[in-house]
Amino acid sequence: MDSATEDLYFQKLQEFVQDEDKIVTVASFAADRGISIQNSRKLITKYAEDQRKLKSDELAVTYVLTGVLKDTGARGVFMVKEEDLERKQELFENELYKLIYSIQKCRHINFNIIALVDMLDATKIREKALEGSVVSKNCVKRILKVKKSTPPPPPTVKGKSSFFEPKPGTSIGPVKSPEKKRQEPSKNDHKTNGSASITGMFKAAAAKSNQQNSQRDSSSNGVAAKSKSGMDSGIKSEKLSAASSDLKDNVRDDEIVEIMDDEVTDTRKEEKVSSKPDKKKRRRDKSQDVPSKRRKRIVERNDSDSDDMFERDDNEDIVERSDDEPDRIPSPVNEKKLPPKNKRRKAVEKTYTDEEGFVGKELFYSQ
Amino acid sequence: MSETIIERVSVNYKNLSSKFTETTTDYNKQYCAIYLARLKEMEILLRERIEIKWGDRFPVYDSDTLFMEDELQRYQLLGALDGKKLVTGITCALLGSDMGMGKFMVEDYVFADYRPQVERPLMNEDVFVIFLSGIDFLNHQNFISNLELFTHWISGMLGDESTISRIARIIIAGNSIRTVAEKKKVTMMMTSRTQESLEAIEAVKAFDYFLLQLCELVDVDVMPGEHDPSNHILPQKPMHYCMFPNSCVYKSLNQVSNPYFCSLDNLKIFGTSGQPVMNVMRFSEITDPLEVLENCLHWSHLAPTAPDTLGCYPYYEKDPFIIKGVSACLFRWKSATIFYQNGARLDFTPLRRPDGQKVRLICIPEFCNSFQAVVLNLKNLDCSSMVFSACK
Repeated sequence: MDSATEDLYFQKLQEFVQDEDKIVTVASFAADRGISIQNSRKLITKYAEDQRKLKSDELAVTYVLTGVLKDTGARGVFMVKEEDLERKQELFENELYKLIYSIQKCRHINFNIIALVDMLDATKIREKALEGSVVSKNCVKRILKVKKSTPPPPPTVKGKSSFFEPKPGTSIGPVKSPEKKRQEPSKNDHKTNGSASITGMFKAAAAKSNQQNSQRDSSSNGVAAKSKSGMDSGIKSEKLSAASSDLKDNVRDDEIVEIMDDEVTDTRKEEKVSSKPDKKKRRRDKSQDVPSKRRKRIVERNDSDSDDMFERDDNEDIVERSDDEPDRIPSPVNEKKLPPKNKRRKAVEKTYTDEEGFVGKELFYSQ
Repeated sequence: MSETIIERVSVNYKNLSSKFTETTTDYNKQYCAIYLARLKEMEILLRERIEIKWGDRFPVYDSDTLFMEDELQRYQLLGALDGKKLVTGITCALLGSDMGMGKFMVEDYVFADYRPQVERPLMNEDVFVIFLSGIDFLNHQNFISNLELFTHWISGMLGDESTISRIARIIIAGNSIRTVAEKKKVTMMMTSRTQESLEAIEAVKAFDYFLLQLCELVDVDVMPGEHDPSNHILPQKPMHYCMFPNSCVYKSLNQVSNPYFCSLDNLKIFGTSGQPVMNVMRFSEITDPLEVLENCLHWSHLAPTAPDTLGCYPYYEKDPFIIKGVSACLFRWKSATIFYQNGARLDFTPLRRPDGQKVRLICIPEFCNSFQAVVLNLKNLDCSSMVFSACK
């Protein structure tokens, strides 16, 4: 360590101890300055020696003694004040380590407070142990695995989408493109036709190629375009067209006529088949609805009345009438006080005598 | 000005405590099954001992085996057997005669005794293991300086780096949070649940920071103790890592079970946090915990009083507390090498086996009272203590 760097550290120590009145330990200074604990101890030891030469009473030093105890033979690590140093050294065998632990300005030393300095420093999370420490190979941090978030659950209610919307560009589940939806009826056509005839296959391929007009790319063969969803069908159509061209060369004229007839009939079937989904989706026209019976407003007009139709609106009954229904006469309604629902009616039996003198019993329900 | 970090010695470590951690949560089984399993395993060991001691002079009757102990099938043992130094749950072979009237005169007896020991590996250099216990972080404000001294000593900051670099592992044998049971306030509430106090939570936090300082330097095994936040009955499960968010980041932190069985360079170390020895001392007239540990080795059972007076899991098909092949160390807060926690002072004894091999029994003192840690040299099983004192 060069002298210039040492001077800087001494200045820092001076600042901590004399100006800020801090307790400086070997460990805390090493952590603060980012130096090894051996260098930190050397600097603090040299600083304490220099201060002793200049001003003997203005620095309090704490030492640590490590060695074998004379009485028990056990090893001991003792933290001692400077004034107790010689007395405590006598407890140890000859071979012992005497190292400086901390320095401070205040003469009153409290070991717990000195330990707190290091403890508070220890609560700051470090990347690794202090430089110069004896470290094991296994003292490394674990590699934490990042948890992958699970995909959001599919919507359970019809018509309602999931709360979580998928990010654009990421596919969460099977996404049906509109092209695929269009494809489905054509696939069904394949199935409905189900014919082993080659003409059926050609027609299906032709139907597909008609549906994919918007996404076709012109190819050298002039066959249907290759779309994302229709890749396979495009390839199939290519194969079918290639096969058909081969077949047509070999088919005789009679068969061609039959094929043509079959094509005609098949096209009709296709129209029927293709029209089915349209029927389902077709909106109901209002004109086709059966007109419901509506009551027309009957306005009785007198000759002497004015042309203003709404002159006597206040007096007229605006309720719709019809000649067929008789006028309703409101019936008198005896308003009975209904007993509250939570209360039960008590059945009370009462005796009475009728006109002939016979005694009878009757049940009355009290409210 | 970069200093090279001095590397610590490393040993091949294996945690052999899987038999204590692999338990299901089925507590519906009867406890008699563990006695049956214990008897079944011990019978094999006892037959070997019988053959060694008495040969084939005396027949061994299977009908003599007691499967149930009740008022009708209990025999009163008389003779050369000191019942005051025995506890319920020990399996032994008795040689004697039936006197009738439910009495049996014992002429001689034999226990399962020491198991065949795995030969201790030869080590060329010293390798040390440090044992700590009873730190009691609930009251750690009274001895912060002692704890910091220990941490700085382990880091090599206080000199003697040549010895420090030979320390391979630290085993903390329980009662790190508290050493005495929490005093529960008497209430009229029907529920017995007590909320964890703020002090205990702060103690766990402080213990986490202490472990962080240690885990940066050396491998640490942390066992739960009787009063630590873990399950009450044996075997105690390792303390959950969520309580130690700062220190669990390090691979060097090892939360282990109680009892704990491990291997360091093929040297077997087996121990508990103190409950079995305390329980044996409570129900017998043995006063020295080292003697209890020695007897545990003779009985070949770490916790013979479980499940009678010591709570344990209702094992059905096995008894994991049977000692098999312990080579060198049986520590317990007060025992050599079968370390056993909760002692006032360090006690250790080298036990010489009949075949000449040595077993170290260690009793580890409470750090909160004695400020001592135990240092075991794996090369020659020498044991010594280390005192960390702040002289006032």
